Amino acid sequence: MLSLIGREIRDHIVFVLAPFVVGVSMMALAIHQSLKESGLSFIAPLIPMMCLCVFTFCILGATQMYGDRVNKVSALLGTLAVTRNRILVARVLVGLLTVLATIVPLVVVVLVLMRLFLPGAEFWYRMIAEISVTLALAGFACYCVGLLVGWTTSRVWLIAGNMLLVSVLLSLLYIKGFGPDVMAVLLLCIVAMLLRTWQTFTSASL
Amino acid sequence: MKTRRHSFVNIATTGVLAMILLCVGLFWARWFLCVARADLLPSSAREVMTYPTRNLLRAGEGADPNLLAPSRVTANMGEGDLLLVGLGAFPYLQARMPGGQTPPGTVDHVYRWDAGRDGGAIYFDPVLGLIVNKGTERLRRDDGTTAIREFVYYAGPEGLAQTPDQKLGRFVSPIADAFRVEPQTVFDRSLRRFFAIRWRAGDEGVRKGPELPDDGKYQPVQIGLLDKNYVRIDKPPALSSQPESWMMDYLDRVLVLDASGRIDWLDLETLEVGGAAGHLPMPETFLGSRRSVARPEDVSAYAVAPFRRAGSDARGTAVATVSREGLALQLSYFDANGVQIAGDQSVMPRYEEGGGRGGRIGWTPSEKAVYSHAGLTIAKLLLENLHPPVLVLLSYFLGPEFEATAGYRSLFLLPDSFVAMVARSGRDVTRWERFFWAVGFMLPGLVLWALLAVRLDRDGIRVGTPKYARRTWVYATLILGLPAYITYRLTRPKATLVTCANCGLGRRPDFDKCHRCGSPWSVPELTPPAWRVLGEPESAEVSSPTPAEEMDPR
Repeated sequence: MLSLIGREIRDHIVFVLAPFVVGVSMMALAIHQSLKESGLSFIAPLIPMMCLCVFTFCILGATQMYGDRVNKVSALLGTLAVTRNRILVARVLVGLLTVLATIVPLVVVVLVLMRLFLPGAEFWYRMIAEISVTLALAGFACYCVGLLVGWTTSRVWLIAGNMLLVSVLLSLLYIKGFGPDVMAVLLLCIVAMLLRTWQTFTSASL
Repeated sequence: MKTRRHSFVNIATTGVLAMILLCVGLFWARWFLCVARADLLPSSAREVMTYPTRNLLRAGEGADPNLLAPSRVTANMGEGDLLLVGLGAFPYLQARMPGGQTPPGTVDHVYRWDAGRDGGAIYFDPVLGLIVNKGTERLRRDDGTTAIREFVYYAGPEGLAQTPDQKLGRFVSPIADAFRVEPQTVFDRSLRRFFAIRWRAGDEGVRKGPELPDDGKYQPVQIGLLDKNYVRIDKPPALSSQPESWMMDYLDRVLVLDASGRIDWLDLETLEVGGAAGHLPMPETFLGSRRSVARPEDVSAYAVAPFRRAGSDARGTAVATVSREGLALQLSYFDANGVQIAGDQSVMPRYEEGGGRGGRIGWTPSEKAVYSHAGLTIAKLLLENLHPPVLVLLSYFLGPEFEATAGYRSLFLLPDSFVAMVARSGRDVTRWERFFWAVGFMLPGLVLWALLAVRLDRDGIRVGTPKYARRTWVYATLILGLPAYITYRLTRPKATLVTCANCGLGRRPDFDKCHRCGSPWSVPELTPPAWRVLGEPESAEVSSPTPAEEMDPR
């Protein structure tokens, strides 16, 4: 499994590192802003960059599946002692790790900055926790959109499908905010998309 | 077994995704319609004025009306604000943001919070069960200089101290006045008492009021500054020749909003409910409402303004409420005893139709006037009928209990749909009449789903879907509507039909028997031919070299 994960990371190193780089830039911006101005002003630049991150997650998922479908990577790996289930699990784990590696350090930095520069930071912990979990779920859901739509040979459907589904998912945040409601809907979407991807991926012909 | 499991996963996941995508798409279509409806409301209909003194004059009371009530009270709701504030992140931040005034029902334990660097805070610590007040204060030393001291006070039902102590008792579920903090009024829903906390050093302490009876009569949900979302009440403008002597005084009396919509005033000396100050009036909506008094969750916004005449004991309360969709504004003015003496609602002019001179012939309540726009109203009805019927029906039963602004961001249930409006309406209609009225609003959808179910059944017969599966799909389409039909179209068997030699209709090539006439495949018996091809071409083919062999130098 570890070698499969390593291979997935090596094959898509650009899209694995891109969200991480964006995350680090966000941290640098947040620190710079908090040193310059007090209060919550450091939150503002994080929002557009978070959207960029979410799109990168989607591209990672789409690249993994589209590359496999076009280059028949899983068909080649199928000749070795590897099942398609394991290939998919390794792929999903890479996506999950990428999402967590981007969100978790960012949340830690935001919490530290709030503790340093914002009196009464403890009042915000619940909100920060809910927003972080919702963003992580939204990021992972966008990655799952990439997996779901990426299993195609049509570039038009690849781009249009990804744009459409990511817009729908992000509009969920706009409609419902960051509370438990939207978390439940996002979880439902993630489970449905992962199962659909598993069904499509494991039943596809070599 | 594996195929069945795959098939089930395929159908279930496609169904879930189709449902979510369709609901999100329909949500945005409804939202844009909602914005278009709100745009029909002119700015004149967003403001309501009422003239309490004029009504007192009509009543013929002996005293000077100007001594009993203000000459004019105005309520105003913002342009399209409610739709924006109801959507997504804003209500979330409003409910979670520490401090400030939060509407009833939101769980916020921070009553006051100063965002500055030296900011203090008053909040409820659920672990300690105490209300904590911490901050900094300036002390003047004997030598004339000032020093800054940090303080922390803990207040419980039994007293106040600088350290948390069990002797202070525990608050369980407190709500507090976030506006006035000296003394701060607190009501504990579990202890069923009002408390007055004095934080000021030297005078600190906690006073307890009598226990309120647990008969459901008193269920306070908000204390002090009573407001929700954006609606503003203004006093009459002061004239230079005759200054207005009525003012809005939030410090004079503590008002308490009850879950039933009643507004009481609290006697701060005895901490007993002193009497009624008014109630939340129900705005006049498109299909009307069973209630004349609105509960806090029935209206999307409200504001309560206590009025007092300078230099006298004359008092009154103005209350403004906004309907669920933000299309109707109601303003009422109550005297000191909580009796309504004036009230008005937002209206729009009604003009003469077809062939007339176009003159105004009367006034219509604003929400009814907006709904008289046939295009938008029919579009709303059609969009609601495209929603899964089971969810529309659930909206009838559960919709009235939803908080008013929840409809702005509701994806699956529709608390602002016509069927939910019917569920809330009908003062003189029986329960069954109301239900059939709601079914009438669902009729276009029911007809559409029935047609789709018939079409699906015919398609199932054509492609050879088993009878039990067809029946399941038909029921699913009747219950879930469009998502079920889309799921069927996306997941149905994709076999190319061949012509049956017996009945001449299309049949599945992967079935042993024709699914229409039941005849088997008529396969001709393979009998070997009696003739043979003789000669030696095979050996000639074998002896000729392949292109690879020709290339090989060896």
